Amino acid sequence: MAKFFKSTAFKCTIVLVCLMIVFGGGLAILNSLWSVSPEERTMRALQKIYDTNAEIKYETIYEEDSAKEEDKKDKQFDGVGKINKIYQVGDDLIFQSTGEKGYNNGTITVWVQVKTTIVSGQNQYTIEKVVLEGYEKQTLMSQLKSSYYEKFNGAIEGDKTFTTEAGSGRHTNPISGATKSATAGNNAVNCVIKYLGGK
Amino acid sequence: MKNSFKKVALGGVITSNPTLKLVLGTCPTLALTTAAMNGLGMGAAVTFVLICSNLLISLLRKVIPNQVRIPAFVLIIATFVTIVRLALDKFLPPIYESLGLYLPLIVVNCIILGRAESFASKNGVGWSILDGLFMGIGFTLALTLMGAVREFLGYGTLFNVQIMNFQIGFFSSSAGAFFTYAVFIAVFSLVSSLISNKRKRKAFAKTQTPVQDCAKEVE
Repeated sequence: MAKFFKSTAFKCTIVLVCLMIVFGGGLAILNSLWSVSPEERTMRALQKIYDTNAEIKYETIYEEDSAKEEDKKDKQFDGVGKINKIYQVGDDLIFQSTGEKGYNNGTITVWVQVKTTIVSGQNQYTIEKVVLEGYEKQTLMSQLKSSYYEKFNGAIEGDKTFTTEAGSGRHTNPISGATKSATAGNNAVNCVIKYLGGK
Repeated sequence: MKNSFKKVALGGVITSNPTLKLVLGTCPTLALTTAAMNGLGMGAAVTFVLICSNLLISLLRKVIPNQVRIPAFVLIIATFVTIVRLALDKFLPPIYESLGLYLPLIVVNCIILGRAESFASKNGVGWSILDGLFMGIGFTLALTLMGAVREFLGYGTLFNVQIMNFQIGFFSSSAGAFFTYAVFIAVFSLVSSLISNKRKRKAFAKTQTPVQDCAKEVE
């Protein structure tokens, strides 16, 4: 037994375990101090949309994680994508939606700012801004500047969705060499159009 | 071999530049040099991890058994990479977003493990910190310069400021990354070989002078 405690194997194990405990403990403390809360992430996204560093007051309308099953139904669209979050900031509706059918079955998640105005007693929705939130398997998206997303801005015309195929819907030029990524980006915005069209 | 400040400093930045001379850490070099700011951010993150991991590895070099040195080094490096991730996410979210997937991949960056194995585990704390600092500076300079060239030619901007109204899409593509990297390595090798040849000639001339003087005296 004494031989084992003096062996290199024991010393190696003890050193690795000690390192793991010390670093693991340190990281746990740092994580609790520096972890970014979901509220802080939402605030960051809103500040990015409104291009400000000031605090923005918002009201939560829908959050997929805490929503009931029946509330999720009208926010999920087969083969198109889903709406993850909806917030209200003044007259604006802020959507976070994920579009499907990207390259290699990947997805693109965007924030969509929609301005609501009442024209002759009816709600008129206008897309003011689209901001990229994240993506899966669509590496090209990181290279696109914010000007790329300006093509989505404008009034929502019924259920006329965005497409990369000319002659149907609202045609958008696909990203050079990445038509499927462009489709997922379109689909993310189309979820919002379909949701508002169904209201 | 004895260390000197000049040797460590020049080694990190020029004679053993990790990116342009040793061709280490090519993955972030190719992927993140689309913009100068990305290069600067990545370089700063790697420099921090290099300094801290070199410091700790040098401190623990007599405690860590030789048989488990690599797992122990990886554990130490991974800890500092996680600290960088947490700090950037909390305090500098734009840089955290732009570095994306390549930030956690610093753990497997050959420069850091290479310096831990070849320098920090064999030298004192002070020298190891200096080595980490200058290797980091060399890496940061190479990435920032490459990023600046690719950003300028690819988007017409420099550190996100519009300079010219033209774009050569090739330089912002993956092929452009390989091309720019190759040009940088070629230019760096050419310049360093010219300087080294000049030094050799000078040194040779110095050794020749006394002999010629002696010859004159004999005459």
